[in-house]
Formats: sequence, C-alpha cells, structure tokens
Amino acid sequence: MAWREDWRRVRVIAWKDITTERRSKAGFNSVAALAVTILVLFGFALGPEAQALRDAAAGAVWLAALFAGVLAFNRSFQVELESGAIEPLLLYPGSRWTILAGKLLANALFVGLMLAIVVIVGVTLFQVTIPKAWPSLLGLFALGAVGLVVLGTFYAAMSSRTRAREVLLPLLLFPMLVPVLLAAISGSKALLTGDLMHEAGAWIRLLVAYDIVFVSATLLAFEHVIEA
Amino acid sequence: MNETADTMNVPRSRAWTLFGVFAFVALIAAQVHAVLTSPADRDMGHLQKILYVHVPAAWIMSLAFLVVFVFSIRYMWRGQEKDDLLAAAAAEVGATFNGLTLVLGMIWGKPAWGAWWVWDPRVTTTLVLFMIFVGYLALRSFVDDPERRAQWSAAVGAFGAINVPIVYMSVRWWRTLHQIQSSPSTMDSAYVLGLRTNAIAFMLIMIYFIRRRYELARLRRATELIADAAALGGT
Amino acid sequence: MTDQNWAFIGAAYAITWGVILGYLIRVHRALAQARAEFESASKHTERAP
Repeated sequence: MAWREDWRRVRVIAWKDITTERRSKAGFNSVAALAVTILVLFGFALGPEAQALRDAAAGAVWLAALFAGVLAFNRSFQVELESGAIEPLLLYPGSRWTILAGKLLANALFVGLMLAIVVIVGVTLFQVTIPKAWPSLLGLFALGAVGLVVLGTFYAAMSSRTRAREVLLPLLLFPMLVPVLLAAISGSKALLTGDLMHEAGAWIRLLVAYDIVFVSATLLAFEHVIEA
Repeated sequence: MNETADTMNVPRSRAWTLFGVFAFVALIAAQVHAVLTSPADRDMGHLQKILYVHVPAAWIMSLAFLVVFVFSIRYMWRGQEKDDLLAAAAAEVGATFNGLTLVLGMIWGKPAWGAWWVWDPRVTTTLVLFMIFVGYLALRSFVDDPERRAQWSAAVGAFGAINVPIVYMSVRWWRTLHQIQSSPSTMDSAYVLGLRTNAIAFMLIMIYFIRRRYELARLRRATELIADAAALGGT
Repeated sequence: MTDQNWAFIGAAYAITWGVILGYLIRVHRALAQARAEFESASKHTERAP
C-alpha cells in the first residue's frame, strides 16, 4: 500500500500549506488585490472603448494572473525557508515527489481561486459577454493554470532559495510560459468571438501536450532540485 | 580528494592555441571567399552577403544549446561536475551567438522586409531562447554552492531546450492563424557552398570558445577547491 | 538604395567581428587572471603543510 502512504503525505503537505495560508490571510488577500489592481491598470492603458477592451480582455486577465501568481509561488517555499522547515521535510522518509505534489496541490488551489477572482473582475471591467461555449473556456483556463502552477512551483523551488528571488523567478519562468500564454490568450480570444476559425481546438491540444511534457519533466527533475 | 586532483589537472596544451589560430584563419578565408565570389542576388542584390554571417551564427547558436541540453541531462544522470561546467561554457557561448543572431537578423530585416523586427516564428523563438538562456546564466550567477548551482542549472537548461519546439509551434500557430506566413525565399544553390564553409568556420570558432570558457571554469573551481582545502587544513 | 545596402552589410560584418573578437579578448583575459590566481593559490598550499 505504498501509494496510499504517498497520497497521505501529499495531502498532509498540501493541507499544511493551505492552513498556513488561511491563518495568515494577508498572503492570499494581497496577491488577489494586486491581480485586480493590475487588471484596472490594463483597463486604463487599453480603454475606454468597449470594443478595444473586449479584444484585450483575455490577454489582460492572463497577464494579471501571471504577475500575481509569481508572488504566490515564491511565498509557497518562503514560508518553509523562514521557519527552517524544509530540511525536516526532506529528512522525512518516503518519496520526494510527494513534496512536489503537495505543493502543487496547494498552489493549484491558490492560483485557481485567484484566477476565478481575476476572471470575474475581468469579465465585468472589460465588458465581456460570456459565450455559449463557456465549458470549453473553463477547460482552457484549467489547462493553462496547470502549466502555470507546475512550472511556477518548480522554478520557485530554486529561485526562492537564492539571493535574488524576486527577479530570478519571473526571469526564469516567463520565457518558459510563452506557449501557455499564447495558447491561453489566443484560445480564449477565439472562444469569446465564437471560434469562427475553429482554432480553439488546436490551442487546447497544444496546452494538453505542454502540460503532459512539463508535468513529467518536473516529476523527474524535482528530486535533483529539492535535494541540492 | 580525487575530485580535486582531477579538477586541478587543467590541461593547457599548445594544440588548442593552434586550433584557435586555425579557426580564425578558416573564418577569414571563408568570409573573403564567400563575399568576393557570390554574385548579386536577383531580388536582394548584395544584401544576401549578410546571410553568410547571420545563418551560420543561428546554426552555431542551436548547436551550442544542443550541447547544453546533452550535458545537462548527462549531469543529472551521472553527477559529474565536468559536465556541468561544460554545459555552462556552451550556454555562455550559445547566448553570445544568440544575441549576435538577433542583431544580424534585424540588420537583415530592415532593408529586406522594411522593419527591424517581425514576429516571424523563427525570429520570435530565437528571442525566447535568448531570454531562457539569459535566465540560465543569471541563475548561475546568483547561486554560490557549486553542487546546487549544477543541479539547478542542469534542470533549467534541459527544460529550456525541451521548450524550444513548443514555443516554435505556438508562435507559428499564433501567426498563421492571423495572416499568411511569408515563406522564406528558397536558397539558390550558388550560395549553399558559401553558407556551408562559413558554418564550418563558425563551428570551429564555437568549439574553440567553448573549450577556453570551459578551461576558465575548471581553473576557477580548482582555485576554489584549493582555498577550501587550505581553510579546512587549518593553519 | 544600393549604397544603403552596403552600409547594412558593413554593419553586419563589423558587429560579427566585434562580438567574436570581444568574446575572445574577454575569455583570454579572464583565463590569464584565473591562471595567475590558481598558481598563487597552489603555491600557498604547498607551503602550508
């Protein structure tokens, strides 16, 4: 029953992160507030014509989520580093990937919640009409969020333990996320305008491929990264 | 102490100096030959002479990043410091040629396409690749512990290389779904020889640079290890 | 137009050689310095024990 033990470890680590976050509400609240602020600023930069706003909505929502997400990822390892809890976590017997999976679960919840807020605010501010194909849009967002969370967590495991974590994480992460951003933004844009060119399917397939490649690569490489 | 002895054994052979001289002579010869013998292109005129530096620089950049990928994976596999240092040397040389490729592409693009920058898939992927390896080099400069630096940069190097085809695909779709892609004019066979000789000359330069940069990294590590040993030995 | 093209070609070759020679000089300087540091460090340790 090794997998049951692993799964328990994953849950414990995720639950620990979520509890810490919940106790110090400041973390999530300020990250979400920042995301909304970025959205408003995008509105100033691109508005006020309704059509221009509508065209840029998908891009603004994803960039806001990205900028705010970077802060969340660094935080998720910082808490452990400040309290010196990462070494005991590593000494604990069992597979290393459970640490990653636990962190991923907690971060996914965190980013998912933030993305939900950003989308609701974005739809309102940018005067978007929700299309009939909203389930596909939801799927697209979920796939994009997986890519964002997986690589964000993986790179934060490194950058949070360096001298220049604030700069280093976006520097490493943003170029890697170019396919996610292009797919998520272009796919959302297509779905919002009724997908006349039938391109949304291609973007969803690209995101699926990206997620599969980098989830496996991260699971393989995480052990090397966390132990060093 | 085995590792120390191995690292300290930094060869400074005369053969590599000779190799470097040969590489530079080859580059000058290839460039002179290509520039003097190539006829003016029907559409581009003499402008195509830029391709003799632009295209080899782009090829050599890809080759250098392939070296980074292979040795990053090998480091993760076997954990030998040499592989990490070689990957780092190739990354720096690759980033240098990558920057050169971008600038040369702009110099080509302005007269040929009428703009310094176009969001062409290849051009854009080259830029993203540049950003990835700037991040790689930044990571290396911000991490002091050699073991940790090696593990982390191996992961970043391998991930960056895996990402390249995906970036290319995504930019291609992003572009073609909005407008028809202008296909690059097919290369005249008269230029192929010039491109090949120049590419080989660039490759020799690249090998020489990587070798020297690797030697530098080995020397620095050896000095560090001696300092550590002296500190541990206690005086 | 052709005159301008020669300016672009000249710039391309000048930048290429600037980058290549610049990198060459940089690496060789760093190499000489590292070699000197290595030699002084190994001399120190030879005396120490």
